[in-house]
Amino acid sequence: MVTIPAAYLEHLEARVAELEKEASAARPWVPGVQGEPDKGEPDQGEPEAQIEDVGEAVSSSPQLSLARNRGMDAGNWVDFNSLVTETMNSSYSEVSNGQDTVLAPRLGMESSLGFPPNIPQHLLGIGLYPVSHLGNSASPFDMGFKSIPQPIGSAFDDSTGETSPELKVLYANIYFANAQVQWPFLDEKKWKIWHNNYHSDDYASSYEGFFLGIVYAIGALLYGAIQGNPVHSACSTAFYNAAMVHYPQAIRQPSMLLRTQATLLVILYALHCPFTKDISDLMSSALLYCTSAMADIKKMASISSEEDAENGSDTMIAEHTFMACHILHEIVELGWDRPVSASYKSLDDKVNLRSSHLNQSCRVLIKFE
Amino acid sequence: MYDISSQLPTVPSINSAFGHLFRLRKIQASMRRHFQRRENSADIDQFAHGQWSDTIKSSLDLWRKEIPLYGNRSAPFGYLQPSWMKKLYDYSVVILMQEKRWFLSPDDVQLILKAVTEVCLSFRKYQEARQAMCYTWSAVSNPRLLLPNLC
Repeated sequence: MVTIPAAYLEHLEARVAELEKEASAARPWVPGVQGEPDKGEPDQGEPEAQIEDVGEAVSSSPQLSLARNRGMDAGNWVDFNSLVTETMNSSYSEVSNGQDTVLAPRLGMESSLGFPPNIPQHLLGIGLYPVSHLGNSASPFDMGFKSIPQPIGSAFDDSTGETSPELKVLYANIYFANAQVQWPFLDEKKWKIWHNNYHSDDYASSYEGFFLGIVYAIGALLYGAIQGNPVHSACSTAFYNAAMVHYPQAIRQPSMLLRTQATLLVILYALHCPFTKDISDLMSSALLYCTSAMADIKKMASISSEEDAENGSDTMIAEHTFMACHILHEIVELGWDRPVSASYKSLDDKVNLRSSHLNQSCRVLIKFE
Repeated sequence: MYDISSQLPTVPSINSAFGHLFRLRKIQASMRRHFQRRENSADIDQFAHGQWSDTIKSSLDLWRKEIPLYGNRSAPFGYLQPSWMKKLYDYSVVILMQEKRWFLSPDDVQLILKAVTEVCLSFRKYQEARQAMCYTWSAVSNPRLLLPNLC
């Protein structure tokens, strides 16, 4: 007979009551705090901060705060969700939000894939978006625009093939503030150079076009999840489709590391996408490229000087790519039924062997025998 | 088995949080590969002993104990946050218990109950907070994986 300690049952009841209280609260609940990371404090359960004020809650939102820190100045807050909802079914019209007058184009793109289900308003949580004012922008990633970038039904202008640059910057900021932090395998500096130098003609048939588009696509997905607005999902699909046109060029690049990163990005998109994508096959490809990339790096390290091998930035990117590949692999293994073929098992063995050589400081990759 | 080297950074950073996650996934990889070998082996008895699972459980407990050292509370909500890492620990415990599901002791049942409850409560909390990095297929499929263990 199994007995449950009474003390634990009481603890459980308290947790359930806490959850119910939070769910019925009028204001959104924001977990986590902004501040110094833990420094060895003993585990006291869930030390989440209680935010008392909605404004503070919004300001403290990790996602929007980080996006703000990348250039969006805090300004007047506008209920972006309501603004877009009002204009979704209307023609091109002026909408005054009391602060700025913005133009809201009519949604023209019908998505055959459908939209995510409507989320009840009280569960939208953080649905506010700051209206920035033009500031001294040192970089294109400073969000110094005056009006809210409206997500357009068609992500691309049919006449010019271009899309709203502010929207791209917004989505890119969301990606680097959220996804890049958790999956730090993309070379952010290199990506921003591609973005800043982008001209549609140059990247029309190049692999850089893939990396740009997929980041916008993932950023749009994340932003749609934050805002609860299906319009961003539609934009994401458009960016994804455009990126995949260049995916074959990306995975034909000589650099196995680049091929791995490209495939991992598609996997990240698939993980967040409201509609199922073929993750299992993508993961197999990623494993193949990743093991080849690590073999190449080891070969180069053995013939390069010690100084070259310690090129910090490239080494870190390679290590993070391998680690991200390994982590994603376990996530996919846990969640998807995969046939275990001999070739897959061979890749799994190689990944397992290399991961066992990575010590906690993550500096052994280049040096292992 | 789990060498806590003096080379470990003392100030948590995003990279060190990522490294800590990597270590958990290595433990999970050990479990997965063990299960796969067991499925393919004619000799079931060699996998029936509790010693292997006790070793893995110790590794998981040690990993959980180190979360305050590496979890990054200032990172955008997701895997790098301490609370999310604790959730991953609970998932891992339930996965581990699958290996013993025909030989569960009362303590094991309590362990599973606690882990599954924590995961379900946490999942609901993150869902209502609309944390973008939680909106993944894996976040949805993992609770689905755990529900049969409740029954």
